[in-house]
Amino acid sequence: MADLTLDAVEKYYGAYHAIKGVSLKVEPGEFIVMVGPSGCGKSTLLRAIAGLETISSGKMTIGERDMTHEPPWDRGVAMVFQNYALYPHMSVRDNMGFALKVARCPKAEIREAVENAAKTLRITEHLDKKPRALSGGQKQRVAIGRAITRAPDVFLFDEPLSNLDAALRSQMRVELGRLHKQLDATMVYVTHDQTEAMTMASRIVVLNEGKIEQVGTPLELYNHPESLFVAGFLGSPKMNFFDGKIVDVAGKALTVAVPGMPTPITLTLDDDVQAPAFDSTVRLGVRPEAVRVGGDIPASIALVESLGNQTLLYLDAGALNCVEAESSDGFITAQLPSQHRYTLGDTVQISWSPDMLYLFDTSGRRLCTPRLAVAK
Amino acid sequence: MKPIIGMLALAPTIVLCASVASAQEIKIWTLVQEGMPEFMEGTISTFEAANPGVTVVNESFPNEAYKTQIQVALTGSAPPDVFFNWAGEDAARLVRDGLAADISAYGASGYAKTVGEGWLSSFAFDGANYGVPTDAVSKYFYYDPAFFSDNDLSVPETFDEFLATCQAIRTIDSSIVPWPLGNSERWKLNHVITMLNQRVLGLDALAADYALTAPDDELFTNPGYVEAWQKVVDMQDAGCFQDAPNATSPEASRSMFAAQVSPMIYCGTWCGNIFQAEGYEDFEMFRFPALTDGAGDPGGQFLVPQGYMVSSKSEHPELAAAFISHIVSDEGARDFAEQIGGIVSNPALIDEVDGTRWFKFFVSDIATATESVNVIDVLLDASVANAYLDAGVEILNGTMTPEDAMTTIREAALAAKSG
Amino acid sequence: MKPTPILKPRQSVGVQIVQNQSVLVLPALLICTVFIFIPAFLTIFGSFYAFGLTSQNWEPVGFGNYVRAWNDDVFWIALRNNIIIVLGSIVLQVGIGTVLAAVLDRGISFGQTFFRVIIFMPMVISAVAVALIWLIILDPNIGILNAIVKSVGLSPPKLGWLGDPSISIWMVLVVAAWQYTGFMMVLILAGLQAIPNHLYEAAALDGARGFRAFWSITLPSLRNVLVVAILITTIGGFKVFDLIFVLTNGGPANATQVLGTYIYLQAFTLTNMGYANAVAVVLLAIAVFLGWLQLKVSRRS
Repeated sequence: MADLTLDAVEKYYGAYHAIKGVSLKVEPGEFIVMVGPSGCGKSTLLRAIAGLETISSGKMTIGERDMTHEPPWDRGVAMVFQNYALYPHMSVRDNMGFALKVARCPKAEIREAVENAAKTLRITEHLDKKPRALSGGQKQRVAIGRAITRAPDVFLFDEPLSNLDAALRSQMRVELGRLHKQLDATMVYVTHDQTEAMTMASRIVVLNEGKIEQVGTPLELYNHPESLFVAGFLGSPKMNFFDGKIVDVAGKALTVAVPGMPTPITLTLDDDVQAPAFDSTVRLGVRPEAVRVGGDIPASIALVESLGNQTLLYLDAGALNCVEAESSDGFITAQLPSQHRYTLGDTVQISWSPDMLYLFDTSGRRLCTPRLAVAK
Repeated sequence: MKPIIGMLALAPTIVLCASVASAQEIKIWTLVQEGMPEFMEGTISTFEAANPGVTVVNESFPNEAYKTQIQVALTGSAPPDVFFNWAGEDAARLVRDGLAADISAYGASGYAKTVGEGWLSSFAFDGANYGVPTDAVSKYFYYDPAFFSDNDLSVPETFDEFLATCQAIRTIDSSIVPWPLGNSERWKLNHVITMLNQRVLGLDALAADYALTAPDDELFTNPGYVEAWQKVVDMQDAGCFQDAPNATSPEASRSMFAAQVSPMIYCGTWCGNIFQAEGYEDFEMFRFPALTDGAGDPGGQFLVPQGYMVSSKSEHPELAAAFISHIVSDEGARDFAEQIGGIVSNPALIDEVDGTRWFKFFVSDIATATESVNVIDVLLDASVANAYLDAGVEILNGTMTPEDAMTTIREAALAAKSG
Repeated sequence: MKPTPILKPRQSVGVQIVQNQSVLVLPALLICTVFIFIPAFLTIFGSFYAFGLTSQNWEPVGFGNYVRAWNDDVFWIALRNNIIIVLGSIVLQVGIGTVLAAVLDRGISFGQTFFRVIIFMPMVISAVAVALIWLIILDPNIGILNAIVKSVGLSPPKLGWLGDPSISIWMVLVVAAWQYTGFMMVLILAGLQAIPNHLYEAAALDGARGFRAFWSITLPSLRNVLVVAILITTIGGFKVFDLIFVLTNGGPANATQVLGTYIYLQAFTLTNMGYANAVAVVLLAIAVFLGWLQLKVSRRS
């Protein structure tokens, strides 16, 4: 178990700037999940930590040692790959013990390490099989086992669950969480799946276009996104956004008028931000779970998704148009707890619960976030 | 009723067509050779003019593949009517296997009037003619008279003088190869040992061994055979050849002489035209040297008759024989000598031929030869000939002694005789 | 009233399909029969007779031709030469091919296509042309190899590269390697490029690098490609004919004789057709065995 520090790490591919000055301190035993859309640089950053990509400038340390220019095998890191990268001609046992064998560990020691790891991952009965005889989930366990056997300072995971089906994925999520507690190891995990990020991370790092957007616990990020990007990226279904204008500033109270809404909305400015100018354009964010049936905004039901424990409504509110919506039609997404019967084309009246509203300025910076009891 | 009348009306036409078609065409196989296409074109057109309704189709093949191809073709269903062949064992085997036609019956009115008995005997078996020789190839030493006179060398007449000439040339400049031997295809040295066998033993002593008719305990036991091989070793020891004769192609050795890099070469009568084509024609010729203590006739001259045979499957043997007679007619032989440069079997109009200097020399010199020596690989059974060819390679490489060579040849001869 | 057949039409459709399928393989079967099975049968049949190319009658000799082969030194020399060519070609063609492929795959970053084309080029030349080119290069009087060897102060073999019986078979190996190494390289390069990069990355993290990575990752991943390459080389080594026929015609004095050229010599020069057939049957048996091995190995992979 060791800490990992990135200090102003940059990565260029020729003229292409892939990582733009990333600094991050990972505490010993932390489970860090890096998320972001495709091409945000999260995998590149992970591979740079592993030593599979060079670091163009900046510094990286693991424990006390400067690892910036060390080769992969000297960094004390182990990596689990998306497509497992198991050696196809070796048995599971040999796959898991390969690193120790290369390091010329005594045979008995290798055997013990492999069997302990196998027990932890419940793959003991597969030890003498070849990888091609295993299912996807079993392969991924072997890949994880290979990392565990080496007892590295830092575990690196590169989208390890994305090749598995949905059921296996949620099962493996739980197991990885359990494994993290059991091993008490430092782990860096890359995914594009926000559910994995929310459920497993000690802290989430949101990356966008090679830069860190925000670092924090899952709920910090959910409740207090620093930017429009984070707010939009975390949460499923996605937050509803509406463009509006500041029509009144009174101390910390901001009043926003959104075209299509019958009444302006008043929000409280966060403590650490500057108030926006009068008449400036802002973007209002409403989580789907904050949309309530009953109120003063008429909307017709365009689509109903009944999930059993919840019901998703896609609402056409006429002039009140959602921007950056999941459906391109500008529908508003509402997430209602439990089951409801709605018919397509019915008109309902909706409103928002005022403590679940977010406000961002034109550059995407946070202005207002809800004050929720669970935060911090 | 109508259809029958129609058929009757057509019937004579069909018969007519069939008879004309079947009488019309003969196919001839020739060797690719300088002047051959021109000669064939001319002789075919005069033959066709003299025999209305007859078409002669000429197909020609390169030397290397010919021996195999003609055998395969003759056993097939559509062999050529007339085909080129060398006199000797190859021709004899075709006769034994019934693939060549006896054309004696067409001789009196044709080729026998122009080609002498001696020549015809080269394609005669058991008193019957199976082919007609058109010409013969011979071999001479070509030399560079300028080099010889510059270095006060004289033309060697005996074998010992020849060895001395080699040594003298090496003394002048050790890097000069007196006689480049291109033995990569094995037949170059075979021609030499052919002559040495004749010079050492004489043709009469050879005949029974070559024909495999000698008793088993005498077959190829004459010490003269070893002596003949020893002469090859002597020549090698005298520095006559270059270091790697078995890796040198005949073409390369000819080019060495044509480029005047080497002053001598033992080469066929066809070589003169090749040297000329490569830009050298100031050469002179001398015969294979005599052996002072040899049993053979020193006037014996290398001579391989070659000519045309008729397939036993030919539908028109008379026409085929007539075409051969046309080739060896006085005018045919004259054109043959002029266009191909062959030593023709019918010399009636040889004085009319406007040949090269060396052609005229060959014709007049061969006329003075007292006996003709046919080449070993043409005379011998194929497996014995192969043993002779391989032995030559091994002697030049120093991997066999003359005694070893004759042991393996004798074994091959015994095996061939019993099987 | 006839009962309506419900199953019958379906059955007949099924039969019809089977019939159609057998019709589809008929042309291939016919070609195989005419060009492979009948000649192979005739060869085996003829190997029990003594006859020449132009003989009218065949004399039955039982296993006589096979006994003759057993007692024939040249037959064993030819077989030994085939084995030398097979083993030598595996070392030279597959070995150098692997090294070249590895260099092209990872070692150099520019001109890959250029080098690949250059090295592959001899493969597209016919063996006869290759042999003729090398005859000139190896000529003891005018050849460039002699000139090069002399220019660095060494002396070339006195009897010539192809004239010295102790050297000539090795020169044949070199010429064959010159022609086919490029093909092996392309084959192995394809195998190398099919190895996922993740494996090397995983190996790098596991500490395996350089030769260790080649030994533990590359070679085992290439196993099937290498087995196929070795089998192709082996079969080629037994089938070789044209290259040697033109280069040395089995000489000097059988030093480079292989089964292919020996069959030709016996059949067409010495006109021992029956004996040539027997040697051809031996070669056929070797080829069939190797073909079976290739099929078996490629099925397993």
